[in-house]
Amino acid sequence: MSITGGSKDIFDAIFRSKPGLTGVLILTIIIGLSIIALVYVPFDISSKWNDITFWQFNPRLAPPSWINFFLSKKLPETIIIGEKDFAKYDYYVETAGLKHIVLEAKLDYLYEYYPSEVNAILYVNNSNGMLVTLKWIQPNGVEIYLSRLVVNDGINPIYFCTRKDVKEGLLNTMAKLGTVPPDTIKPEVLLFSDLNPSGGFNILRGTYRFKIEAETTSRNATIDSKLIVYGRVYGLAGTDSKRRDLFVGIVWGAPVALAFGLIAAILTSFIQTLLGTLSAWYGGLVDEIIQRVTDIYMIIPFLPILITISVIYKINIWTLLAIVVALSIFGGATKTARSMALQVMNEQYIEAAVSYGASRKRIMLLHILPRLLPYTVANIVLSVPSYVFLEAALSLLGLGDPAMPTWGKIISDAFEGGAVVHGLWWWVLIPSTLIIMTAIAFAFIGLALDKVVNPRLRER
Amino acid sequence: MSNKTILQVENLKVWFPIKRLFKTPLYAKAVDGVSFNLLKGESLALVGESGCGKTTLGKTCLRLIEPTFGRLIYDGRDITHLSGKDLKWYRREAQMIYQDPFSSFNPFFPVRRILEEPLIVNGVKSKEERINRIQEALQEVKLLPIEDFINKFPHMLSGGQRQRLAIARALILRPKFIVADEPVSMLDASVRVEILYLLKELQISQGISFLYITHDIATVKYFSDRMAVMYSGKIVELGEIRKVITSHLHPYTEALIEAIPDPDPNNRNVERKVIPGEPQNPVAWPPGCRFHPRCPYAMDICRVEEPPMNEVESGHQVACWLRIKK
Amino acid sequence: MSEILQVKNLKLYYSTKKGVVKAVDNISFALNKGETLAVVGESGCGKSSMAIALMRLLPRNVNTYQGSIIVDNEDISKLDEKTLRERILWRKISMVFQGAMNSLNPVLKIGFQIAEALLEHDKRLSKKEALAIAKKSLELVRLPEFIADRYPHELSGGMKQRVVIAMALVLNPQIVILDEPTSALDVITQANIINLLKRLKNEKGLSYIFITHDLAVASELADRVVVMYGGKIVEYGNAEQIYATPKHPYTQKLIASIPTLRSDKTLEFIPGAPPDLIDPPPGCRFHPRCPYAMDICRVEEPPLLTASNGKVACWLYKGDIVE
Repeated sequence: MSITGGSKDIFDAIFRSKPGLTGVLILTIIIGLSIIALVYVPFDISSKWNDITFWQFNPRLAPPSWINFFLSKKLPETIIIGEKDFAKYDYYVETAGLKHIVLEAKLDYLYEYYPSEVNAILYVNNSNGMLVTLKWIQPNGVEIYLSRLVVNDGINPIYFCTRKDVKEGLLNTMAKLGTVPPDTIKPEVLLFSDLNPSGGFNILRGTYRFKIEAETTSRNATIDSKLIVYGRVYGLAGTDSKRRDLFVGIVWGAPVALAFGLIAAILTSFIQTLLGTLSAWYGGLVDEIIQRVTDIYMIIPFLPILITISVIYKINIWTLLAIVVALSIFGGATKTARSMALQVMNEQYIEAAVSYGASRKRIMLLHILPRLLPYTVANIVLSVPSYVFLEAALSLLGLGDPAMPTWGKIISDAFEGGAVVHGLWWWVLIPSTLIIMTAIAFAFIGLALDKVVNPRLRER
Repeated sequence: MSNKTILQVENLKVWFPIKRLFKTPLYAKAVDGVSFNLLKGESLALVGESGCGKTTLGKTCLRLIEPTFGRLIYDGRDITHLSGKDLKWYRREAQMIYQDPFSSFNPFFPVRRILEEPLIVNGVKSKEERINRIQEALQEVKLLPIEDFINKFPHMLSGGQRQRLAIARALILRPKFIVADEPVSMLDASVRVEILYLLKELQISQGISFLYITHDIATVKYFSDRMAVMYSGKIVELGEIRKVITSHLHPYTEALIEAIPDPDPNNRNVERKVIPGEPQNPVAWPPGCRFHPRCPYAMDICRVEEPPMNEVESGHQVACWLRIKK
Repeated sequence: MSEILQVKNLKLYYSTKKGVVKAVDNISFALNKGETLAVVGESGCGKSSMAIALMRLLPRNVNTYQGSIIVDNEDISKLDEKTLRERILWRKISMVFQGAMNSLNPVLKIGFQIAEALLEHDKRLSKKEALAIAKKSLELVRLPEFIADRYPHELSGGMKQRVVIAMALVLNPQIVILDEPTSALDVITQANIINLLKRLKNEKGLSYIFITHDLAVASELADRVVVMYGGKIVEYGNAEQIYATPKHPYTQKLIASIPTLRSDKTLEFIPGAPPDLIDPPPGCRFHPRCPYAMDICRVEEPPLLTASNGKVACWLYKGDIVE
């Protein structure tokens, strides 16, 4: 047995060596991520990833919330006051024919940083237009008159940060108190600041109240509201410029990367091994053709062809996989497998099989290919990272599947969104780390397997 | 041709081309004009040094190597150019036992599967019959108790046990002719005899004809009936074992026998008479008798003309000018 | 005759995944000046391990290495690695390795390969001098001088084996360990090499330790014979006595199993397999295969008893110990 051992050797090699075990451990974590992806994210990712409304309750460009762990002053999390948290009462004034509805929500704000945005959403039904007054009452009792507006039936988002009347309301309040307003009016800051002249615009911690007073002529009219105070941190992996939860993207990237890498590696390795074995076994013209085609394939510029194809045709990730496999059915392993098969063919049991009348096909499938299996397995393991990198690289070049959040795609978005310039580290570092970890995991397992495949390293 | 002959080899030549760029190919004449008859139930030993073509000859007799010239007649049927179904028939009739008990089995197969393969390949469909025949074969080679061995893998067996397994595999198709290529040379002395006895027993009880290829004349005496001495792709002497050993006719046979020590403490006090040199290159055999460069008795004619095979006594042939009366 | 080499209680154990292999288990013997000691036994009995233990060419997985090796009244097992290399190995005791002829460097000329070994040991030598000595050593093994300018692939097996012997002799050692020096060769070539070894021994007064599995070949050189079984010496004595009247049942059976060309005898064989050196059988290691096994053999290990003309480790001879 000069070339390869059996499948037992493979397991021994992986589980009895430190690199092997480390690799398996990392891989288990990544596979765990893939399982989380299926459980934690039960929706169809490819249809939702680019849907802006799906992500509207997330802060923009927020770092992961675990950074609070390392900070003495905690960054605020997003606070959402839902419909049910609003205290609500209504009455109908028969004489005027007006229905009054008052909603009030309490909000405990104890952070030492201002939120990133404040929005409210009004859900109005069965009215023919409703006059709504929004008020903001700070813990110290200062009441800020935010806005008075007419809303129609349906969903009415109100963005405090960009509304003129909110700014005016703030200015009026400050004027009333005799405070000199700051140079730039940032509603999300001022709403949470001490507006007294002595306050110096410091953050005011305590219980805020948000009050909605609605009037309408319709007796059946209802109004509900949601208040969103966007934090400055979000989730396990932060968010991107489109408010998307990067953890979802990264978790989804794991199965995509593994599937892409494994399928590409398995298919190319098996096909290459098979072709190499065929080449050795048939010899002559078949050998010559396979070897020459391999030579040609090995000098074909792989990336330019891929780029050309994905520029001309709009491809999704599985088409990309098919093209990658098609472009590597002949390769280095064809040559290696050929020489290994030649060595196995020289062993006496092959001739013994010929001498009792076994057919060529039988000898190849039963006696030669299984001997190359450990090599093929190692080859698969070692080539997975390169395909994971390839997918990431292609996404980075903008040639990937636009609908699917892959690690490469996230990094590509990050570059487009100026993540590096603006120091949005989580957007780049987390997916990159995962790509590298995947590569390291497979490289470690490959290193452990090298002892099985490379006879010179075998200790006997 | 008498019907006692199982295999008749006629002027067999096996030349391997050595390709050269822009030149006509050279030929390595591994077997270069060999004729002999193997009788039914007989054990014929093929003796010679490495590179004399004895293994090539053995494999050609099994049609594992294509003959370049000459004819092979098995049981009255010309098998020189058999193919397809007919060749498969011959594959059942004739088997081989290899020298190296370590590489002659698929390392992934257990004993049962190793023995089952030839049966599957040769269309024994019933599983029951296959199991029966496997047990029978293991019984014949005394790998007992069968249950202990049937699920073992080759690497779990000792050298002697592996060689028994190799014999079992050769026997399982019930062949009439077996080529045994140095079946005991890689085994320990204590096991060697056991295997030779087993082969002898099978030869007698099952009437199998053996072509026993070896470099060791000492073991030949205990297993074979006749012996052919090969040198440089040719048979130089052929005859009944005892005759060849005691009254050998060819100087090469003499040298071969002289070179083999018996276990005798007096050996250390004397120097052995040995011929100098080593076997020649099969690409360019010397002209005349191929042995003449090493032969202590070489005459002028030996350097020019090749000696023909000549029956000196009944059943004792030699190719040497010394034995040809002019 | 004076004892040039004494080996006392030599042990060499290896660690493997399956356990500790007791390859050489407490063996003692002596080699007289100008004598050949043949070490015989089946594969896996520890003969080659004994040789590398003598040369202290230990593999990485050594578990235990003990005992004393006394060459010219000096215990070389106590010397440090450097002194051993400088003063003892190849100068006093050298070795022809099994299959060494196939490990010649294919891209270096023969003469250079021999000279290389010389230069390694003697830094004062010039390259020219070393080459001259190399050529002389080729002459010693009956090879023409021009062989020094050849590459290994241009030589036949027998010639390569001669080169390897020349390399072992180039520093004029007194003791040469020959590990299966002829087992890969054809019978006629083997006989030629054996003749050469005989001549060299007489010319230079060499002492050989001749390791072989072939008792017939061993008889060509052996003055005395050590029979090893399962990492231990089971019998030790003069060649005449071992070949004519072997005492240990294993030796008896081994000799009875050798086919002879010139005389007729019924061959015997030893049923069963050699012992597992990781977990050897208790008592005498040969008892599972021994036709004379008694109760004591299964329990207690026989000591190496001194019997007439030699030593034997067998309970059958318990009565006639001659001290």
